[in-house]
Amino acid sequence: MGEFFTLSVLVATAASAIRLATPYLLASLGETVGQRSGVLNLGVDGVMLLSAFFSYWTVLETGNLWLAVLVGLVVGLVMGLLYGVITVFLNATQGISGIGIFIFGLGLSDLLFRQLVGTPKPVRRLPNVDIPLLSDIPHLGEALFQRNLLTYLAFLLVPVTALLLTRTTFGLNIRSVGDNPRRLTASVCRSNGPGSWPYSSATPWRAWRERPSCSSWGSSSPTSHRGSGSSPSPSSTSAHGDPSASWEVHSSTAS
Amino acid sequence: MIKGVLGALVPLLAALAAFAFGAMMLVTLGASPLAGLDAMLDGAFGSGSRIAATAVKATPLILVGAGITIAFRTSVINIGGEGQIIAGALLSTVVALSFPNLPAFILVPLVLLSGAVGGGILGAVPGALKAYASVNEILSTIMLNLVMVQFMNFLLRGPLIDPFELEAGTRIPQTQRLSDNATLPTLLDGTRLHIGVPVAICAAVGAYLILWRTPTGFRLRAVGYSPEAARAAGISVKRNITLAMTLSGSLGGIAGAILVFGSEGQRMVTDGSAAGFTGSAGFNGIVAALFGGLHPLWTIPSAMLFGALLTGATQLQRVLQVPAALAVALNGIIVIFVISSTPVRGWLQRSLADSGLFNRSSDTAGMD
Repeated sequence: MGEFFTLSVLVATAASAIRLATPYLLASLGETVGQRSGVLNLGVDGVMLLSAFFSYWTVLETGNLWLAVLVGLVVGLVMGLLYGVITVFLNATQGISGIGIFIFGLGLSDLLFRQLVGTPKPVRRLPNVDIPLLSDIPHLGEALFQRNLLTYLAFLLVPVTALLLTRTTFGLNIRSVGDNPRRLTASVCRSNGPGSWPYSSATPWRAWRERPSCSSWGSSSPTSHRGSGSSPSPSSTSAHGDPSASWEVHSSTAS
Repeated sequence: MIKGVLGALVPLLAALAAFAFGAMMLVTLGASPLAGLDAMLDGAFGSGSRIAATAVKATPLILVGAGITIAFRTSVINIGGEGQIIAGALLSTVVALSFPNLPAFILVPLVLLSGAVGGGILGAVPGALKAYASVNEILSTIMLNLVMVQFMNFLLRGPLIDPFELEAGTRIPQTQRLSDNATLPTLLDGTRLHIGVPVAICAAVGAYLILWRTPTGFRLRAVGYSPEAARAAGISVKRNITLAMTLSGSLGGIAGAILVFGSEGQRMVTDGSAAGFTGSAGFNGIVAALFGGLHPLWTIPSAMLFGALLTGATQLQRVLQVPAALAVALNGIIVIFVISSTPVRGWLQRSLADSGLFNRSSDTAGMD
């Protein structure tokens, strides 16, 4: 046991911990943004599997690692969009449609792998990039600053995501939609959160036509959560009696 | 009237759309969809033994699906089917290893019962956590799936491993061959049709009777419809949530026992993953239950359909060299389509009511 706690073992453990943390970190950052907007995505595993396959296949076919990263990103984007359409526009139950996405990703990646690749072939890995100076720190530099660019990107995205969520209008919209989709629908913003506007009008196409918009503050026509065609009423916000909601409505002009 | 027709039609159309998607995937893979359908039907229903294989494949789906119905009807989302199957399988395996010499007519019911207990415990934990500590049951059941997989790997690699594997040094993670007395008796010679199939069907009927013909089921469904109203009526919401998860888990546990004692190897084997043992029945059971409209009796034919899909896919692989994983992808598509169609049904009903054609229809009057 005493052999285990040598410096080189500890450094190697820390290095592989950071390497293995990268996918967790990226996935959970994405999930954080999603959950802050009120969407629980249980299909992340399926999305990761599909993205992984397509990136791998891209490397096999083209040998271009950065194209593969881009392909993985696009696949993730498409799957996220699909999940959004299913849960928000079609208003399907989040937990179960997430499982659906998971099963679909599991099956499709398995299917495509067997069909297009067959037996696992080794591919090139992303090269490790040494950060000048920092990577020269003994032991610590070896563990932390001799990783590939995606690892650096993942850790860089942590403060970026935090700033995005807490310091930008976009982040504010996301968080308010997640906190209370119905109130936001009733006041200013196009929330599309779970259980918001599909209930506000009888049909999706009508609801879409009458949708309030977030693009410019206060220029929307607020709809109450029942019935369509109600007149704009900024007082509907203050009726909730929440003083923190006062930022939501600046002025209300008919659109 | 309209509601009833739409209620049956929209999910079926959704499933057809999903199958059309599957056909498109077949075309993309370079196979003819008709030949694919032919191979799948042949693989699933081509002979007596194949029908039996389909029924055996459907058995865990029926059980898990019936359990899912109970949970979902109580508004508890149980995604821990995989873990509950494994828990039931492990406990029943331990029981069978402890009492190998009991006569079959005692040991078979005993292993099924211990499977129910094992799964029930694993269902009760997230149920109680949700009821008494407001822990999100979706997350806790998914986490418990992972816990149970590792627990299974630990037990089958360590305490429960076949002593011969240790002697030979091969260390395949599997138990020793379980007592013949515990093996589920087959119903038809020459096929794999074992007693687990009628057990599963009885369990589904039992779930229906509990939900719709007993006060317990009434309370469960009342909690599912509206916890506030149920509480106001003096029904303990917490106790019923726990009960629903326990029942749901115990049905999954029986499925686990059937997977072990109905298997050809007569032992529990792991390849390190959950799907390696359960065949993803814990997830596919959800699919079957949803497709059956969350009704335990409709779960039986719908589970048979998915069982046919799974056995058919193996034949598809043999004949057309299309990987059997197609069936898994198709399952996912069916979930997505069917679950997305539910609100569409509501919109259709409302827009039909809006159109004024069916204004006298009483069941849509209150919806707009």
